[in-house]
Amino acid sequence: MQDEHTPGNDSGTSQDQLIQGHTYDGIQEYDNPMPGWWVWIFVGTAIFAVYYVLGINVFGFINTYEEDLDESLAQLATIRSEHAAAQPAFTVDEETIGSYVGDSEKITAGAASYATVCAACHGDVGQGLIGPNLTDEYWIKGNTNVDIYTIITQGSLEKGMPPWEGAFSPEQRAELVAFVRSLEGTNPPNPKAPEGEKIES
Amino acid sequence: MAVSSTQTDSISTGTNQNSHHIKNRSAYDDQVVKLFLIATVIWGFVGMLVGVLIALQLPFWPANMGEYLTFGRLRPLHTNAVIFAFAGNAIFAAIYYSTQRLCKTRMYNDLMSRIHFWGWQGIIVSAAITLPLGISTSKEYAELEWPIDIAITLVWVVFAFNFFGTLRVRREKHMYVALWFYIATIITVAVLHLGNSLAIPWAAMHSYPIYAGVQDAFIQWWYGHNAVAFFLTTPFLGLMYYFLPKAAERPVFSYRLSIVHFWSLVFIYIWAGPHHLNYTALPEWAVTLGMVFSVMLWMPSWGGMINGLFTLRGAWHKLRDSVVLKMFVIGITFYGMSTFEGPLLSIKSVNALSHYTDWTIGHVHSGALGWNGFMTFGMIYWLLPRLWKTKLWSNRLANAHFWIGTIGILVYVISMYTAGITQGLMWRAFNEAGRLLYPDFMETVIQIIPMYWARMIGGSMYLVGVVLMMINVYQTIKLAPKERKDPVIDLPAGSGALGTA
Repeated sequence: MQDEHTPGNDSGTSQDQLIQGHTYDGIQEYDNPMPGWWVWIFVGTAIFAVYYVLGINVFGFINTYEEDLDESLAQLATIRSEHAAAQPAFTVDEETIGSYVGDSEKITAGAASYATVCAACHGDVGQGLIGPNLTDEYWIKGNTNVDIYTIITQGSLEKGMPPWEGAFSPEQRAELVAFVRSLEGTNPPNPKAPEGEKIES
Repeated sequence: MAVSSTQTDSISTGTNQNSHHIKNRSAYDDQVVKLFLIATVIWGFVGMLVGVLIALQLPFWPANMGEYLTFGRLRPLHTNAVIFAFAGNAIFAAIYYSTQRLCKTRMYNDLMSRIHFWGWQGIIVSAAITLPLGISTSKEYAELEWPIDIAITLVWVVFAFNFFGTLRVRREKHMYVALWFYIATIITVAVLHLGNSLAIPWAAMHSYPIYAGVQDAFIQWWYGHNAVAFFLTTPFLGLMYYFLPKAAERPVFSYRLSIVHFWSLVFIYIWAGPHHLNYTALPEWAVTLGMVFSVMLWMPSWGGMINGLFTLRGAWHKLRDSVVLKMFVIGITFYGMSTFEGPLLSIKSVNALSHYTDWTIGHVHSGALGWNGFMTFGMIYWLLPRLWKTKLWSNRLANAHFWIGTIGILVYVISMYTAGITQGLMWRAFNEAGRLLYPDFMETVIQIIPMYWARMIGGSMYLVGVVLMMINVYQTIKLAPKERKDPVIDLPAGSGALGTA
């Protein structure tokens, strides 16, 4: 490649032929072909476009959103059920969950889970924000171990609490019960006004 | 080959049939180019300063001050300022400078040029007032309310009239590729703005779009994506086709490539918008079309990059001394990278990871800071000595701008890629029990806060570069001779009869 190509004084190489008459404010243009790789990748993307549109809309060998979602959910269900089968069974009853209550290790683990999601609505020390106060003696959905476990698991549609079944394992939910139980009577600052029925424990 | 032999005789105004429109057809109107150039520099500083402030507000919430200076109010101010004020004034400077020279005539009407300039600045000022006040249509990149939308329409019509009038009275037979890109810009931006802004006025500063629900989203992203295409791509390609061969003093690599990539680009771009609505309520067939057209857009975009970089064959040694060419090379390289990344991000399986993360922010800033910013800076450094008939005040300062700006872009985009991919992977991570590993959204935000600080540092470096350029612009203008005559038009041989019909 020669270095000294200047417009108006350029005989060009065998490749670079200036186009006669194409001079615009001193700018000239070469009559070079388009690079082959450029043309062929362009053609390739057009072929891919046809292949993809036919594959997803006509022949069905490319998954739609719904098919992808169904496959992923089925895969997830398999992983969950296999994992659950490999774990010792967790029985939801007063006695099993009750064995977590008062256990300082379980309470600490529950507190960690609580801080990640529950604190946003129930306050960092359970004093209540959007969600009810967890430290007083008033309960909207009952106060047995199973009651508390159930509301954590299923949530409460009418009160705006989401279900946490997908986020926490049964053991983690039982740990949360242990933590919530440990909050009773702690009298934090700025408590939310009582809601629900008074239930002496 | 003596192709560019020129005559320097001026044209008598009396013989020109359009002389009743124009005071002086023998000279170019460079005053309006100077106005647009100065506006570019000032609005660029303002828009990027707001950008740095909102970059600070994300990791450091106390930087959200009062009601008016919060992230939600300032983010649209930042995008409007850098797109429509900084890039907008830059492309108008490029169009007014190059169109006159490519048509060998003065702009069609000086008054229209002034209405365009002052009208556009008025629109920017009204945006800067209404957006912090919370007056917004909430349509991204089209936030301005209906009275301002009407003002934009009127100013754009004046601009179009002035531009096409200039083409009509041109004294060059052929229209150079830069002009095609300008034509595509002016026509398509008009269509996009009218189509997306259709709304029923409800109060002086409030309106409801005529589209509802997913149709509104669809039309919004048809507009939004093509704002990128026809406000930030085609006019800058036109800019590149004029200023790059000028600065490199080299012929354009391939005329044929310029035709094919122009038509394929403008045809394919207009379909690509739905890729912004991947995995939403938009019917999947529409998303599929948006995705495949985005993939097909890769080579038409790269056609511009190739024609730019290959034009420098045999002139690479000039980069050592020319800050203008260095900036153009960085600009074109970032154009190539972001137009590869765009099709990549539009692919559904990639988008599943990238959507709603900072990867998108990194992507647009590699285009905006790299391509739009550096092409603009290169043009400014090339125009400064020519418009003000002096030499650039400091080449060293311009080189410092080049380096600090380039490093700033890299810090910015790398931090955003890291943040985006990190957060995207955290959102989709499951543990061995088949449960979300990070069920708490906040956890995924806290993880990327260091990247937000890094982004702010990168953006600040880029802003420092712009400040260096402002100093250089101010000092260069101070060096300019007092005489302010517009340059006389050089006519190509034998073309005097053209364009006076």
